[in-house]
Amino acid sequence: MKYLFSPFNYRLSDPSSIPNLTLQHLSIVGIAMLFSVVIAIPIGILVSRYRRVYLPVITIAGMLYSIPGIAFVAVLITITGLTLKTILVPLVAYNQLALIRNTVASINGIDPALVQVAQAIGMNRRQTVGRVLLPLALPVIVAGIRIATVTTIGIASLAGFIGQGGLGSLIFINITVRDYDAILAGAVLLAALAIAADVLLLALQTALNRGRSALTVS
Amino acid sequence: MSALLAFYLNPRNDLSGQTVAFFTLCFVPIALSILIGVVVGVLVYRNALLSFISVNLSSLVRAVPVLAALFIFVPIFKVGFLPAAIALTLLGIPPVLLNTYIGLRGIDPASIEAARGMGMTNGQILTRVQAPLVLPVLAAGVRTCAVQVVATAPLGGLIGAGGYGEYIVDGVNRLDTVEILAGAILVAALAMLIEVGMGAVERRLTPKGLRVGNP
Repeated sequence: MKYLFSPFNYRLSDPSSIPNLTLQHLSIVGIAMLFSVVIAIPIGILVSRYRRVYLPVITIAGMLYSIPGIAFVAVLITITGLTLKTILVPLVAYNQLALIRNTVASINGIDPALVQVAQAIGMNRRQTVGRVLLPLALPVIVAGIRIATVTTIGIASLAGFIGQGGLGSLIFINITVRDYDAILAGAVLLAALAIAADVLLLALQTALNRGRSALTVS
Repeated sequence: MSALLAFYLNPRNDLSGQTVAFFTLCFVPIALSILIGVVVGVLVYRNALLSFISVNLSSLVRAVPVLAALFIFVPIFKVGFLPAAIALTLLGIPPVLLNTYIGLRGIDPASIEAARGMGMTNGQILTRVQAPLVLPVLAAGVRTCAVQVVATAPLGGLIGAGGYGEYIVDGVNRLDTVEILAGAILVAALAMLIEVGMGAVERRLTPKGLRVGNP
């Protein structure tokens, strides 16, 4: 654990210090999550409208999800090389399953009677969406984002495998020189980051749901 | 394609040896996870405190990134098959354990009462009522476990555990496209095969009366 607690590894001027690697890791996760959400939520909304495409869409997302990360990255290296794209594409692809599933579940889980009630008490379309549909759907969508973020933090460590930095590089760079202390530091930091994100997003999810435990589709 | 074929057929790449290594690396942890997950799940499901601890511990382990799990054991067991097998087993246990627990808790006590009322013995209740109701849920857990283990096993190539992962790692180190693809294609195909195959098993195991349409 010496590596983890040595002040030398926290100098902000060193691009491969722990704070800088953590920041880099979070930015990869952030970009990946942004793209994932922008792609998955519209797909989820469409799929919940057209039920027949649900199974094919989920099957494709499931198959993408089952491709091992290292294999996915390895194949992309032959196309996009050792660039940031090579890590972002798999991350976005993996997130589709959890995000689409939860978006569909969130929309299907809304009692249609509530929409009718909203219309009956004179809400217009915008009010129905903003005050009834969104508050009910959001906790479940956030549950999906939580699952996706935690997985993404883990898989983003493969960025280190292709020289794109992040906490994974602590592992991948030091495995060749067998510096087990640095490897352990990388592993511990990754685990801590994932668990912290899990707890934080769980808190957000519970807050959005006003204290009731939210339905999670995992 | 012909370059790939030549790679597979080249005796220097030891395809059969790596295949045996990869399958061992996958199936030993999967078998152990199923064994441990089911046994612990059955043991804890009646006890509120024990099930709370094991369910939350499992959720926590699920959040730990696979790469981290794989490397946490390296300082203790050094490189090779052992640390990879232990890490993969630990990764595989939570989905099996959680689904065993959920499956057992999900059985309506009324169905067991009804079975008893019909005069079934405990053994009959276990095999004809509880097992058919738990198996599909358990199969879903085993599917997650198997896919996860197969997806993580290639990372064992980084710590010298053998298998197809070595092609990928070696290929990336030398930027040898053919070798990268040779490893990646085998790994991806195997993972998809297991995902689809276990999906079929899961549907098979669901009793006819419980099969529902798509959500």
